[in-house]
Amino acid sequence: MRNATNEPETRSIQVDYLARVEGEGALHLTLQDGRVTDARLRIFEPPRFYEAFLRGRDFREVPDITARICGICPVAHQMSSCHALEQAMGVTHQIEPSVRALRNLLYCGEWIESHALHIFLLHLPDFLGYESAITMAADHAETVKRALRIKKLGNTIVSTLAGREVHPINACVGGFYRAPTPQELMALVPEIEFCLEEMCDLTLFLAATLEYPKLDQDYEFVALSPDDEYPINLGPIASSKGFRVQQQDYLNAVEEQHVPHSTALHSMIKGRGPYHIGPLARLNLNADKLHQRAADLVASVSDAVGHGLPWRNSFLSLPARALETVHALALSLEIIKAYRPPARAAVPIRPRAGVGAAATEAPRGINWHRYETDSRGLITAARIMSPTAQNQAQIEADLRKLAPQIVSLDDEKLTLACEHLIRNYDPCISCSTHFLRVHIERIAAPLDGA
Amino acid sequence: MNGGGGALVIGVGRPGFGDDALGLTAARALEPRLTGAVRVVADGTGLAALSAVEGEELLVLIDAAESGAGLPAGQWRRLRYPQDAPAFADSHLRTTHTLAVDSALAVAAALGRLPDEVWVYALAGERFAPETSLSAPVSAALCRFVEEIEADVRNWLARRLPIA
Repeated sequence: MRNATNEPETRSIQVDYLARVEGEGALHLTLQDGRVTDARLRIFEPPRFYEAFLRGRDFREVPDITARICGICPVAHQMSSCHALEQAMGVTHQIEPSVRALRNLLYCGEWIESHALHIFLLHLPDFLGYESAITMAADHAETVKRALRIKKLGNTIVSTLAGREVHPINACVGGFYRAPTPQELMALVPEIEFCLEEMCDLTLFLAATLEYPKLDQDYEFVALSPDDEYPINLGPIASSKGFRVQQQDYLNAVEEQHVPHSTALHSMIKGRGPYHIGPLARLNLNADKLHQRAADLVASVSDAVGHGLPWRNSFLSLPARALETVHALALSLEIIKAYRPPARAAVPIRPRAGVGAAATEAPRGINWHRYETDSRGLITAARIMSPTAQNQAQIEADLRKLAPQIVSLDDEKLTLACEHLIRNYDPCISCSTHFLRVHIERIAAPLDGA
Repeated sequence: MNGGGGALVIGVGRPGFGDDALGLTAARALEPRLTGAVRVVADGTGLAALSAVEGEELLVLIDAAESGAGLPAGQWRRLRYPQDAPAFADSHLRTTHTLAVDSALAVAAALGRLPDEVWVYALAGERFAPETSLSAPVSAALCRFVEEIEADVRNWLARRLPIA
């Protein structure tokens, strides 16, 4: 299309904030000749200064400070910082197995609350064709009520172990300030048993009834991959295309790059490009380690969505997330029933100069922290790689891949399709940024001979 | 305690993010003042309204608002839901959580989970950056803000009447 001066016509449309994404950011799409010529996920909140203001703090303060990076995944930041600082203090191997189990239980609580929230209130409206959870809730009240009960249980697990639901305070470098009694944990069992059955049922419902858009992407999946358990807190970091490194060596495999359009750093596999982390990556790399209750559902879910593992479609993150919720509920039961209080809730630590780096699996993927301390245990350097920042380049690559399927849609439907795809990654942009705007720029094809 | 017909007070916000913490601060200040028929929850998000109600007849949400020409920092509005819902946009209720307070209330209403009486107290702040404390206007207003909420809740408990 040409205007009166025979210039190619450019149309810009400012769409409202993208709701249902934690944080704030913006997506700028440029469409020309029916192709996406530019896809930039922008982040316009100033960089988070946690890495700077952690310097000079006592190492014991770090877990409670980093827990405040995000209201949705505080446990992830606490656990990654605890593990990294235990390494720096040289006490990693002194952590008791029962403390490790409690940490897994705490993390299960976070997975349950975060996954239930995202699946049923933030992402399901996309699949069912609703603008928001508000309009969806009116028509699907029972499903939402069941999901809220599961989410509330996740919150209760976190508050039981960590003192409160948001910005928990009981975890510390070396363990916990106070270990729960078996009675406190056993009180959770009836509700976990109920919610486990509910989630199994809902997982099959989601797999069988939703229509998953087609997308076939040659992802490089990256996740923790311990030998003997589904990844949460421990294990080396592995990729679907071959690398396997210890947590402290993650930067040997990946690198962060500044990009002009974002204040969050883009992460790339060295010499290759974007990579995909989160539930889909964890499941594809570790399906054989799922709890039996979740493993029992994999075949039925795969049949229903029409693909066996590995799933190379980010829209299948939703059933992956559902299977992980079943896993987390079943694992919680197992941990509680086997629980014996640790001899000491926390390992005593003498401050020392040291370096430590560790990764844990936040609901949305690998959350990597690295710290250096001086002889007094004061932080001299801190580095945090949040999951959403690591997925940012992959989200842009997915948008380019999806574009041919959606480029003919009008701007409103195109925006919804992009938002839907972005939500596959459950972006927690406040870890690296805040809310998202979508900006579409269409450039008409030049006339022949112009 | 469970709801059982009393009141539920939820403070919404994030600690360490300047005035975004005021809902939590206010709720914690109210906790020892409102014992008995009132349950106080701090550290909640907008979502807390969805799952925390356990049969209460009154839900009180306390959150930070973004200051503007109509609502300078340190001043507050007391809104009723759903009657004053359109005014929420005017007061620029600020949230960094997964569902804004107004969205969470709308979902809760769609699920039939809201008590008959819902009040939202929105105190205007002026800074929300990480690693900042409450601003001077909010700090100066907080005591009177808390006293007013306490008085309103006590009045409701005594009379079980909606606020004017």
